[in-house]
Amino acid sequence: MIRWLRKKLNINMSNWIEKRLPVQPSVTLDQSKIFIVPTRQGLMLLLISLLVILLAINFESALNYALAFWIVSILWVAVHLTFRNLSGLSLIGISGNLVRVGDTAEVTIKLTSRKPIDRGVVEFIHEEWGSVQAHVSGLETWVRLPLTAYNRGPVSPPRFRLESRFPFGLVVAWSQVHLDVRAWAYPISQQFERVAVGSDVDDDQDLLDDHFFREGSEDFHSLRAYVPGDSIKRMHWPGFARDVLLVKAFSDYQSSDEIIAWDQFPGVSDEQRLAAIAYYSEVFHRRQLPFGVVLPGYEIEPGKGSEHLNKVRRILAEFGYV
Amino acid sequence: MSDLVYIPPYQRVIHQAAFKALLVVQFLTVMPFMPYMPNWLLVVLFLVVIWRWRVLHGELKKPPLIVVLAAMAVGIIGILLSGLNRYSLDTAVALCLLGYLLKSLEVLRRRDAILQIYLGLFLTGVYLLYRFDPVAGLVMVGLLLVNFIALQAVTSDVQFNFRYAAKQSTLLIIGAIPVMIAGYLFFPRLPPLWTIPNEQRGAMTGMSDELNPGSVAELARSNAPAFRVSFSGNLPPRSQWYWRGNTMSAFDGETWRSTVSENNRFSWPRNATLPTPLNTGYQYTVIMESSGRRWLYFLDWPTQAQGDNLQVMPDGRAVSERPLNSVYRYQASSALEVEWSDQERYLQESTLLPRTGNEGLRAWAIDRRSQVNSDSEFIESILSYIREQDFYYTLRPPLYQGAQGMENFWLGARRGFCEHYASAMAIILRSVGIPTRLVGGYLGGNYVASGDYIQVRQMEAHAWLEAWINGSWRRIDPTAAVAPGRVEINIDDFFLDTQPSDLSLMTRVGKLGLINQLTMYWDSLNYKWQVLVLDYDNSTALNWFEAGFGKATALKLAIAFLSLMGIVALMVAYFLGMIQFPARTKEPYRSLAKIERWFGAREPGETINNYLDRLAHQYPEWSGFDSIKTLIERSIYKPGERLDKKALSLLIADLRQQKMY
Repeated sequence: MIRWLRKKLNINMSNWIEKRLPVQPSVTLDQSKIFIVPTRQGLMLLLISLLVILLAINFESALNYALAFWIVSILWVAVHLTFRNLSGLSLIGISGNLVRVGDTAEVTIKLTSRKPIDRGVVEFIHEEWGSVQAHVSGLETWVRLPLTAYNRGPVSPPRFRLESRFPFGLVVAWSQVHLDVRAWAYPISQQFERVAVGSDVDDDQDLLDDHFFREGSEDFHSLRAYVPGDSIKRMHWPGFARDVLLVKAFSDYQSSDEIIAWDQFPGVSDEQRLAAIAYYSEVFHRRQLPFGVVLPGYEIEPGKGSEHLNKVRRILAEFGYV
Repeated sequence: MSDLVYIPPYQRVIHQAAFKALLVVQFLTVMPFMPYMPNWLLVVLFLVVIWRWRVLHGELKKPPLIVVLAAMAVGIIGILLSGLNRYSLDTAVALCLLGYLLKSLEVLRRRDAILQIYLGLFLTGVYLLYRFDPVAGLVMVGLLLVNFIALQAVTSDVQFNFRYAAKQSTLLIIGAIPVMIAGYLFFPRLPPLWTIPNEQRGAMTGMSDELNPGSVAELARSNAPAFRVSFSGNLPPRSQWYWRGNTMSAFDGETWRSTVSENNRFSWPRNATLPTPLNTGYQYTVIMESSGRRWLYFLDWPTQAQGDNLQVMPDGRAVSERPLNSVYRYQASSALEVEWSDQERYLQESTLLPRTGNEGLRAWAIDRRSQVNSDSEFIESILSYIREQDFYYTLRPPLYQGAQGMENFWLGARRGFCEHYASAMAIILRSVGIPTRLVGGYLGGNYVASGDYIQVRQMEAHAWLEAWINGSWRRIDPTAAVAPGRVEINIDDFFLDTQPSDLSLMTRVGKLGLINQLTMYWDSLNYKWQVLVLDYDNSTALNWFEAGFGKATALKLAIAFLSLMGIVALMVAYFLGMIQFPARTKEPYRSLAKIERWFGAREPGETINNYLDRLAHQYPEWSGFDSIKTLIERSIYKPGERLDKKALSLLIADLRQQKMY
């Protein structure tokens, strides 16, 4: 019964917190978002003040009355000092890195405050990473949270606890923050048989709604930056929609570059296709061969080098999410 | 920094800086106790420091249980052997200190470190039982500060920064002062919940209930204040500053004792009354220093005494039912002439002498008595005998021991201090049947002009006698006969003039001009501290509260307390920068905002000019837009022109008027 009540209470509590502190790209902590209670250590201090009061009463010692009330009052001032550590602190999710599934990703959070005060050590607590401590002072502090990437795609920090016990540990102030910031995980490479897909194969069915591919032909090679004077017919409209001026460059097809394409892996699931693409890009990268990647909706022109590999991996991580 | 497993704060291992801070703070906390505790605790402190030094340099483990137990056992045996073997405060404090020192041996984690600091805070409170002058107040503040700095060191993980810790601790302690004062003022002073047996704390000083040759001279070396007296009205003349403490009627041949024991208050006679005044006298308030004793002091002769737990004694004085372990205040009046009642049963015991001893002195006395006609004459003749013969007043008399001691003094060496003269003369008077008793008290004192009070030091301890002549007690001071100057000036000044070598070096140095002034200044500070802080009783605060808010009920007090906390909280929050008042918009934009509220906002891109023109057009029945426009326009666009705020506010007020009707 008690367990049921506690569970119910926990659910209610987390719903309430969810409403109060929804997922946001950034959050500024204020009275409505900071919770504050005395710690066990703070309550112990009250006990000490009680003992001092007993000394005062029993020995009729005037200064002990002062000492006892001083200690009680100190606990109360400590509430202010600790509250100040979190009050007005803004957390902004900045970015995350790119890792293989199963590795540890990191997201970067920026803590800013309007006034450069020393806020002491702030702890970021979650079972996922234990405790990350940051000494927050000045106008800006950067914090990295380690996250294990379990699946391909975005790796976001869960709702975590941000707490401050500074300066004396008498009081704990905390907030439950859920930041919208992502690291990305690309698939673990996996070998699948790669079937060559010729230009004569009608791939329209696989790439139904992409006007770029429908319109394009084998002559299409890549996109290049717009130069004044380029024909408007060659404009890359999806790029334009993203405020990037690109022109479709048509040229002769050069078979020396390897293109790893989505439809080269028929009969396997989407995730497996991505794993296969990851596999082949790593193979070509090792062999130092230029390669390109074609995914439904994306195309990476052939290239080589680790930067190129990372670009491919990012696309693989983001595929289906962006 | 990141730990993959979350370690609860209390289980974290403390860092190097915290070890060092704990070590220093422990040392600072134990040191003030040293004057009151057996000295070998210093050795324990030293050993603990060595052990902790090792821990600090890599031996990061707890001492084996056997070591701790052995240390405990040795320590407890040590305490017992040091004479602290009864259940008393000193014993408890010694045990507490031992525990505090040994506990620190095994402090590795935050939880234990916090416990050690909290024990330190408690010990601060214990220290205030031993000492409560302004210095103790400073010690308290200092210990609070260092303990909280240590707490910061312990609860911060690696990021310990002394300046940060010191700043935060200072903020903490200062911010806590207002509420502390309120608590101090309004918390009811409760009677003790239980009594600690043998309440002695530190050493007992002052006159005791027995007097043997040499006991007063002992006190004469102490510079410590005994009590302070402030008079309402006139001060009595200097020669009347006889502060009468207890009377001693029982004599065993060597030692004079009080017939009521100081330590057993159940033996004190009940329902005694003070003598009735025959003329008007002096009214005064006495603040006793803590001495561990119970005797209270009065001018001759007390007729009224008021104070907590005060009991009147039949020999014309009053005592405190409890030992004076803190500052104690009482009020009294004294008159020069009084009428005694109910003294007959005490006269009998005041003529008793031991069967044997001092026979020569007794015979001498009876012989002298036969040469005069009355008791008064006899007393006069004894005093002139002292004056005429080569009696010598000195702080360093020879020892007069044994049953013939006083005879040896009176008829032999004739060098003595006040107690010798008083004792010998009492024997003489008793041998001829005059009821006589010895009085222990103080003679003289320093008048401190800056505080308007008289300070009496232990040094002024004095003994004289009282004899029953013609139906009343009469004060007789043989010292006044041998050293007439002593009555008019204090003992240190007296000996400084005549026999400076009798005084201790400290006393002589203390009489140097500047040092003397400083001591007096310090004394008046002490006196103010006693009146304001130590002797504070919350009836003052309650009266003040009731004057403002009517009868004080628990609810009202609680509301007052909470609102005070609220106000102070807001102030603290403001100073910490947690709340900010919205900045007031500057003129003329504030007035403009009002107009916009009343008549609709400006359109995007509309200038102030256009806007006010439009309003003037739109509301032709309203006046004032034009003047406002001119005012604002000129202040903004004409360099050097300042806005006439008064005119603007008048115009705005006018607009408001028009709007209301």
